[in-house]
Amino acid sequence: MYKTSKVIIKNNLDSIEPVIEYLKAISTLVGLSEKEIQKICYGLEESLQNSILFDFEEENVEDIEIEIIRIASGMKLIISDNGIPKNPFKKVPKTLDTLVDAISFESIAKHDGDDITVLSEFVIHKLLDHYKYINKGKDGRSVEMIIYSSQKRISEDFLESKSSDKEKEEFKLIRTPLASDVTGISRLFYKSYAYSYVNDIVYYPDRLKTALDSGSLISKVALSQHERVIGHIALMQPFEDAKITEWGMAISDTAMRGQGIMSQLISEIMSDAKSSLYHGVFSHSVTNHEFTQKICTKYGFSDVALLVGYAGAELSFRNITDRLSQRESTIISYIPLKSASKVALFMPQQHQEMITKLYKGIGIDVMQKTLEQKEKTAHSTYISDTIIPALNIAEVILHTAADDSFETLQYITKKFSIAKIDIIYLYLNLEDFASINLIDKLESIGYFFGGIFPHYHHEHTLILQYINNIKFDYTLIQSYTPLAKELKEYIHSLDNNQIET
Amino acid sequence: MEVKSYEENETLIIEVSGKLDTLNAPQFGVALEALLKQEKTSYLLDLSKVTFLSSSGLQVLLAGAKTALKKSVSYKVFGMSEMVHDVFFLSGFNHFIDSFETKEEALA
Repeated sequence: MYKTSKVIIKNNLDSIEPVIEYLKAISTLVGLSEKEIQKICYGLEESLQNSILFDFEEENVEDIEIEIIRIASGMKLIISDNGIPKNPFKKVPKTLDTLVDAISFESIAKHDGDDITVLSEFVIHKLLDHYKYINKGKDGRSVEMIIYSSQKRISEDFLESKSSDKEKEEFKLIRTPLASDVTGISRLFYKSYAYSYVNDIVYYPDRLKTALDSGSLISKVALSQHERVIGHIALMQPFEDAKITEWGMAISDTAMRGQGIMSQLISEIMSDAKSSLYHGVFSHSVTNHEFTQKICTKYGFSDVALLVGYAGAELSFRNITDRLSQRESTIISYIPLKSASKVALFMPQQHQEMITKLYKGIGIDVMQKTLEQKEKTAHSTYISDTIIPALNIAEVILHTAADDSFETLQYITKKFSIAKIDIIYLYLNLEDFASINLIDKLESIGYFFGGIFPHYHHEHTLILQYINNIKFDYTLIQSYTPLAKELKEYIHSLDNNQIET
Repeated sequence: MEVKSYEENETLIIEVSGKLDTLNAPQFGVALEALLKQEKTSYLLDLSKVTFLSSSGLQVLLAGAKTALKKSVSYKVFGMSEMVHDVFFLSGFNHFIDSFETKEEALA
């Protein structure tokens, strides 16, 4: 739907005709009547011509900016330039009588800009519904013109025609996307998120296709009877050779809601997950609302971690909120696809109770591994780290821990802090004593508990998080399940950056 | 912008075509003033081919009407398109200049 556009022309008369044609096209698009279009075009042409002829120094090439704005009741133009200020002492009269007296062939021959402008504004006032001159001082000047549509609200007309088209559309089927569906997936995301969706692959149909062809993305699309993509969901491999997959990229056309599209998409994709080689499925659920968390709970996911400040505050649904007041935290929910009932892990004593609860939620009983059962310490530290620029976060994986691991992690933490990375997530192996033995030291430099994350780089992963000097208001983090609420309060008590609430 | 004239039934018919905008209005003014110096008793402006009538164009038409009034000669316009008609009437120029839809009506 057209909203606004800006055109910049040079102050020469040849520039007028093209911009008039453009205005005609826009006015037609938004549904003004022919007469209304003629009037607004007249106003623009009249105003531009007089400006160009009288209000700029000869030989000076200047810009004139014309903003064309659709308003609820019509069209508005704002013409801005750095032409000479209007003569404030030559007022536009309410009637023609005053002006008529001064008109003669002699006065016309003088070609006086002020006189012509006054009459011009008089005429424009009569034709249009609103005309206003604004002197902006050093910033130049502006003229605002509005024409109201005599028909019913043009936005209603436009919306009605669009919505009546949609009412005829029906949800027809779900399938694995064909090559011809890929662009439709991109368009659906753009429609809901503009360019704010966190995973920017959605804006590149060619990359989507590559991911689908390689199997790193497993998708389902819902289609209308017109073969338009009206819903999508996917399993996304978080990294190469990952044993788990992320459930996400879930979207449905808002105009098609109430037809059970998302429920069917979820059922289909979970069916694909169960028949895959993945060990589990996880979901990042946003916490500025509970909707996604509820969906996850409904399909058997259990909450395993809270990543404080995982996503930027500007990354959000277009229609729910344009900007959050703080970075978006996410709850990781998980559902195992392969059964595992008992496991022995090196759990840090201070977090043993919470870790046990989180594993219980996904159907696994954990027990503390004893010292007699500990592994040999590795000879060297192996750490991999990556920055996710779109989120301004870093992920650090401690693959093997050795005697120098803490110093190395301390150095990495400082490096990312100086680089103004907002959050660092550190993934430790719960089956490696040397890794878990670092937790006290890591907590002393600012890391705190995040949760668990099965099969995320390690078979049994403990998440620690480091917030780079950002205070979070935990009352804004919505948690749905009792376990999520408990986890949130637990993490809140450990976050040494917290706001006093 | 082009100005032509011919006589019909003792009326000088002045045919104007093109845009009457701020740029060429002075030129039209010169032409109209010259035509009004001819000793005619009746002047009729054919505006059917005028595509744009700016405020400057309106000034020229009005200057012509005032000159005709001083000379006590008839001065009328006809054939305006819808948009030109709107500009003419909404700005109130119809109170100063008689206008007609067709030449026949104007000459009647």
